[in-house]
Amino acid sequence: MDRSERVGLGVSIVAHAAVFAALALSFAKTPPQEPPKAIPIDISLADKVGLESSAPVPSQEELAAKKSPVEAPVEPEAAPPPSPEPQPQPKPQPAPPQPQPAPQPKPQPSQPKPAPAEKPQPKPKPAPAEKPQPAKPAQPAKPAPPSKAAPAKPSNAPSQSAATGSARRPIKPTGNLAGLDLGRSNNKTNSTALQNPGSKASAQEVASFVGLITRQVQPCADRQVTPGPGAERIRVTVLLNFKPDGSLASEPQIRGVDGDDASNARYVARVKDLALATFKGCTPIRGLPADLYAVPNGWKSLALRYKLPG
Amino acid sequence: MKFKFVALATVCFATAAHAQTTPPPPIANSPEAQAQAAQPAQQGGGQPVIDIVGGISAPMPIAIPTMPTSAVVDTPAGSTDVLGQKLADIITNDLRGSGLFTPVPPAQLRTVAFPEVTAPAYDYWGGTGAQSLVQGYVRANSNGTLTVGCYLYDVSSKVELIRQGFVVSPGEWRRAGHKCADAIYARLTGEGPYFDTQVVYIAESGPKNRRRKQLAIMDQDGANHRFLTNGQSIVLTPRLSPKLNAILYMSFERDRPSIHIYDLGSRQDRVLVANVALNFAPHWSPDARWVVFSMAVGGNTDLYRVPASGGTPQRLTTSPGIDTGGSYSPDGSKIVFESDRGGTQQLYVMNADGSNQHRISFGGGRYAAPAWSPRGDQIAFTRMGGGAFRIGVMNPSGGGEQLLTNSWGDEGPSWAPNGRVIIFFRSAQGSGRPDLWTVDLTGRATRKVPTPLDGSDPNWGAVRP
Repeated sequence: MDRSERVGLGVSIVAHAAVFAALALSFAKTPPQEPPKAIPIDISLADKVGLESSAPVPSQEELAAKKSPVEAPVEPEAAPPPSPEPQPQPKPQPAPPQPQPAPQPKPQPSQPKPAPAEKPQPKPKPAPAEKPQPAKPAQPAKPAPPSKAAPAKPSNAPSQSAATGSARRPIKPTGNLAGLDLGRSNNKTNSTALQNPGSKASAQEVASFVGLITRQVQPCADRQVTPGPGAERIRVTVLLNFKPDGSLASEPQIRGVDGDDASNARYVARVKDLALATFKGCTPIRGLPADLYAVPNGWKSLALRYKLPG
Repeated sequence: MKFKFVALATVCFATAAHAQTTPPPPIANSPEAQAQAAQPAQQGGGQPVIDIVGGISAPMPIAIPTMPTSAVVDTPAGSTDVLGQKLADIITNDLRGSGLFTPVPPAQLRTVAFPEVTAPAYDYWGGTGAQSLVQGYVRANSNGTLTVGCYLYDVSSKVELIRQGFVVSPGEWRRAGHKCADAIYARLTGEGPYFDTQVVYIAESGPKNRRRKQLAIMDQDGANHRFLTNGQSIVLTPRLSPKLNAILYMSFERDRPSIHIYDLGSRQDRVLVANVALNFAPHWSPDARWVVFSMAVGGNTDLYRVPASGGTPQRLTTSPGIDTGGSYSPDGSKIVFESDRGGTQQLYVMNADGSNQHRISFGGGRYAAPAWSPRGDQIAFTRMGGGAFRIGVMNPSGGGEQLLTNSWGDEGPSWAPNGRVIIFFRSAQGSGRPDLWTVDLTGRATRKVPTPLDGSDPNWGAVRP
């Protein structure tokens, strides 16, 4: 190593030392950053997965109940609107409607907040729009007009409400303005269309109530007598519309027949009879889940297919 | 014949007015009508469809209480309240005899008041185990006729299935019961009716070596029996005309066989085929215009046909051997017959003009007395083998053979008009005394038909209008 090389080496060492010292000083001046703060979030573990939105549907009954604990008296109507569907009770009831306490809203499983309407009603209102059923006091009254419009759609709910007989009732001043806002009525309807908070019945839930129905209908199916050879190939599909209590809301409707041919066509009418006898003979169905009544894939309207064994 | 079917809507309203009771409600909502009238509900593709499979093969429990009357009136047939009980008995016996129904025991039946006929006590009848309920009424009309109302209800579904009414002369009051039973049977089984029918047969009496054989006719349940010949000459193989106005039969008057036709209206008897040769086993064509029979000419027995009004027989078969027992298909296009042309007695089918003859039976033993079902789907026969005679059926192409009876001597099948039941005669081994029996296509429901004497060669007539 000659002299020039030694000088160069010394300069290099000094320069590196200067750079190292400068960097060390600059890091030392930076304030220490705090570690990220953990923000706790709520996690609910569910064993069921829904692929569709299942946001709760606001219930007009509950809103009305919260805002107006006292029902407005209602002018008695001249006559209740005629029921659009044939009722099994053929005898008309001309007697004036009995005063009935307003039906209590059912506790909603997904809305644990108790509604003020749970309080006892100090002034029972007459309910002329509701069909009096003295023989079946526990049976919920039937909504006056047909409520076949898709009840589960939230966007349709106000228009349906406007079409109901109860919504047309004149309301006297009560001093409580809560019922006037949003165009809603304080009067609670008996519609079950909006009672459910809204979740679609899962496959597991459907399987559960299907099993329940099958078990209760099977004894009636087992009693049916086959009319003749070949009848066991016939399948009859029947549409059943249920009330919330599991009884039939209307006569079962035969929706289709298959499996019939030239050799067993003479038995078709009889197998239709057997299908109807099976489903009518073993209703009402007990123990059906109330929260799955009027939801998509619920049990409000079901198609059942009957056939003889073989 | 003073028998009239009326729409009961009219009859019943008149009845109710007469009795000053609440008129019956309009015909109950039939399920079909409701299905048609119903608005399509929300049955989307995602709606659950629940399959239910269930049922039994057993007689159906059915309740048939006494039919009430609007007013007790004495008639030539008896008091109307007594007739109500007898009509219920007729319906009960008809349905029980079919083997497809189990009537509720009388102890479980309750008295039905007249207004209750159209408003059944479903809860009570459900408690008896009955799945169906028959109610009706009897009313004497001012013109001497009787009106019988007939209602069928489904106890489980609580719906009315049938509402019919029949106006009959007092002498034919039993027919109203049979008509009611027919309506119920047809509605609940899907099969055609067969209770309001008659049977012709040979009534036998006397010792074995000198049997007396008479032509006789009766209702299918044995009622209204009467003899048509006095037994001085032997008669065989009677056949009721499809039009129910005449009987075709064989007579051996003075030991010379000939084919006769007895007119039921005029009670006149005429010879159709005289004794030019040995002839036997006549059958009507479905339109009653022709008679097919066997005749032995020159040592060869063949099938012939002759116009029912008389004329020259036309030969249909020519094969060596004995061809006999011709029976027309219901459409008249074909004839099934028995022949030993192949060495043993077997069944053959040919066109009505004698063409296209072909064998359809190939089982062991021998086959005889074929009878084509009025439904066209089966051929009944007597099968002989192992020393026994049994009744069986097969389809017209020869497949699906099934023996329905398993006795020693069952012969001569004849179909009920619905093609579901067969009447035949049965002889106990060594007795030589035949009786009439019926069996249905399942082979399970057999019934002895009551006759005052021994009976053979039965032939079942069509349903009376």
